[in-house]
Amino acid sequence: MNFEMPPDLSRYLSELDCFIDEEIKPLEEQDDNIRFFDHRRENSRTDWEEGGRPSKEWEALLAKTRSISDSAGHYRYAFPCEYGGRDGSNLGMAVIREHLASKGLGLHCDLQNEHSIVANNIALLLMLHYGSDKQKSEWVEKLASGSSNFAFGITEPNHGSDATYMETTANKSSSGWIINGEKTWNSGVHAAPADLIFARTGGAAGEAEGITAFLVPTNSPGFRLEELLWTFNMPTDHGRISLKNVKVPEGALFGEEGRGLKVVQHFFNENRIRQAASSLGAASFCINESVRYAKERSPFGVSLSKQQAIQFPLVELETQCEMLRALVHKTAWMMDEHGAFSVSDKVSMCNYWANRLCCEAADRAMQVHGGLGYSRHKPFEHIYRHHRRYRITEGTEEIQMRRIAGYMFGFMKQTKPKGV
Amino acid sequence: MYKMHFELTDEQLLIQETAKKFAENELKPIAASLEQPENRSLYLEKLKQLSELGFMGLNVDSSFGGSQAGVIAFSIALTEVAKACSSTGVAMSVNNLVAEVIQIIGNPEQKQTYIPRICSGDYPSGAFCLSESEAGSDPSRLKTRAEQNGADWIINGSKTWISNAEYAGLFIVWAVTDADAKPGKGISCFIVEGDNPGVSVGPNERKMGQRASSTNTVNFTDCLVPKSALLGEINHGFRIAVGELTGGRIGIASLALGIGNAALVEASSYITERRQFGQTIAEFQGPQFMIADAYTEMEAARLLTLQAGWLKENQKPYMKYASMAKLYASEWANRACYTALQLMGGVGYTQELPLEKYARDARVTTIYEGTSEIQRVIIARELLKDVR
Repeated sequence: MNFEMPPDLSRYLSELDCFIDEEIKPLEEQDDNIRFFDHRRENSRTDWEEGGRPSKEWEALLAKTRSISDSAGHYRYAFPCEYGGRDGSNLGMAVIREHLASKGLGLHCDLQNEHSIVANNIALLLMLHYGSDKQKSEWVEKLASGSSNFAFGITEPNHGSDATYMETTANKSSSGWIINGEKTWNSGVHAAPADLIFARTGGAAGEAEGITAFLVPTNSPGFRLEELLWTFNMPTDHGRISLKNVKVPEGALFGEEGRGLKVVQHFFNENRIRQAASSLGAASFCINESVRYAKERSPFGVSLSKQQAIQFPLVELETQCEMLRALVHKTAWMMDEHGAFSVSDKVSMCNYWANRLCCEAADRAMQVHGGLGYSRHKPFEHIYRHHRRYRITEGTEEIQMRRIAGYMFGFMKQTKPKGV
Repeated sequence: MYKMHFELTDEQLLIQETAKKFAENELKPIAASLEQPENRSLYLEKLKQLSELGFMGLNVDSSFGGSQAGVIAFSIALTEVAKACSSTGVAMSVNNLVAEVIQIIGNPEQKQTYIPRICSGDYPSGAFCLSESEAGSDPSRLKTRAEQNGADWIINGSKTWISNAEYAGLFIVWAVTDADAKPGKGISCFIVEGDNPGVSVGPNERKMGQRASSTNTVNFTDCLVPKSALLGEINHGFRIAVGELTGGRIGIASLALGIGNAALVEASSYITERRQFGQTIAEFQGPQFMIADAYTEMEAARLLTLQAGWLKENQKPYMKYASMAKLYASEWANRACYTALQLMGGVGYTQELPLEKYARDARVTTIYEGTSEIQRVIIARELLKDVR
């Protein structure tokens, strides 16, 4: 047994830190770009006149950052060398995402937009695995460089966790498919040229089989962005869309007909462990900042750091972080060693616990910092609001626990998630 | 007229004070010794004294020998008694409930015959015989049968976890009277007198806590009871089990409050005396905040319990609140005992102090009179019914 961080990974973290200091921080500091991170962040990021969507300046700055990171050779870390990546591992991604989030808010990592100098890029993972040659030639480079993306249309207004009951349908026509239905929580759809729409093409409600994925151009006639849903944390890029007799050619089919759920589920373990690692990093940030502040502040002439009422809750959080870190690392390592579906239950454990822990750490940081913590001059309220979302998206806490229970009580098979 | 107020009446205050004095003077000094089986007669003597104080029928009409003081009075008196001895408290809770159930569903003759015997202490206690080895949280699965034999009934079956069975003057027994009915239907309730030859009481269970009160298996073997033993409507006994017994939850909530409160009092006084690192433990924020949380939750539990009591006293629906009070107060009592143990360190862990006994006594409160899980089922059912 060995608990040492692989030396190449430690070196890479240092390399990333240098890159952030040399190329990302200066960009953050020029042209008042700090307005996207300091107390003005929500306002600067949001275009209130345009339905609360992200402002053009903000999205342009994120795009510029991605491009700098890609030029420096970091953005595609997780991808194979042949696509310009570094063959990154799941352990590597977990460690990197935790590290980036633990540095606090900044251009190096903005989870609200799933933005990072080291991309998670689930869309690319899916494209490499399921895309047709034609789709790959159109999309791979754009996705890999971060210059374009497609949104995901799985959830519907009446079907969230129960995706197999989706009501959107696609029917075969002479020239392809005709799609009808409604989708919601399609993040990023306002700026995406395409939306990966999941529709029932066969089978019955509740069955995993019979759902098919289609890459639907967002400018198709009948495709309509109805609204961006205003959320706890603004801006919003979470679209509700409708599809009314949207015609797509046969080539829009993504993956196999009737096996769309496989597409959704294929990379969920990667996504969930990375989300967990990000939450762990953000939780550490909140704890570390609180410790630092407690040492500075001395009400009644006694340093807050000496008060057990301040110490003990932070101790509890730190203990949980350490335990979680060990589980995240082990789980990611097992995904690398034995396959992403070898430890689905542990991925779910990491996920729901990390997201909850981060919310508790942000909440505690606000309490330790008092009024200042509650103000937007500190990042904790933003962290709380964002990670509160993680307790719902990417599988709610309840869905994670349901999965763990499924393996514990023998209702599900570890290596055979539904539909895969 | 007040819409809402939080003051006890003069009568309630008097009852509380009486209970407190009795608990401190008569119970507390001997509570530990009552755990020994050879001291059973002393325990029964204390139950008799409680009946002399009118505490065995606090919510029972005076025409049947009760005190007619109401549910709140019952709750606050029981809390005081349980601060000193929860084993005595549990008998008090059961006896009050036996008397109340007979008062609610009994016929005039049953009321006149049995209630005064409970309230006066002629019967050291009554006992409910509901649980069976295979019907715990789900009483609809009862196997005990009562069959008609001319005008009489013959009861056969075995009941488990029967509190106070050894010295019970009467048993209220649930038995299946219509074997063809669906689960939960076809059950009836009978009053069986303690000296009925068809009744045999098994050995006292060796328990973690509340050892002074007995807990036994009770066997009914060709137990012949007259027609007049039927309590309430035939085949509707299950409704009594899930309905009229609700009041018992207020009792256990009140009792749990007493145990937890007593544990915290011990710990509070200890931490203000014990010095470490040059100051009393109470001067460290860690222990301070533990105590602060525990007392805050205690007051919340108390208000919830009294609210359930007030609703019952005023004939308003109270099932949901009784379950909430029982759930919260019993879970809290366990936390409070463990907090107190932690605050007192090694000394609290020894049998020199009553703390370890409080912790043992508190444990059963989340199990009997409906487990915490069953309370949650009831709460969820009741509130979702309101929503629908």
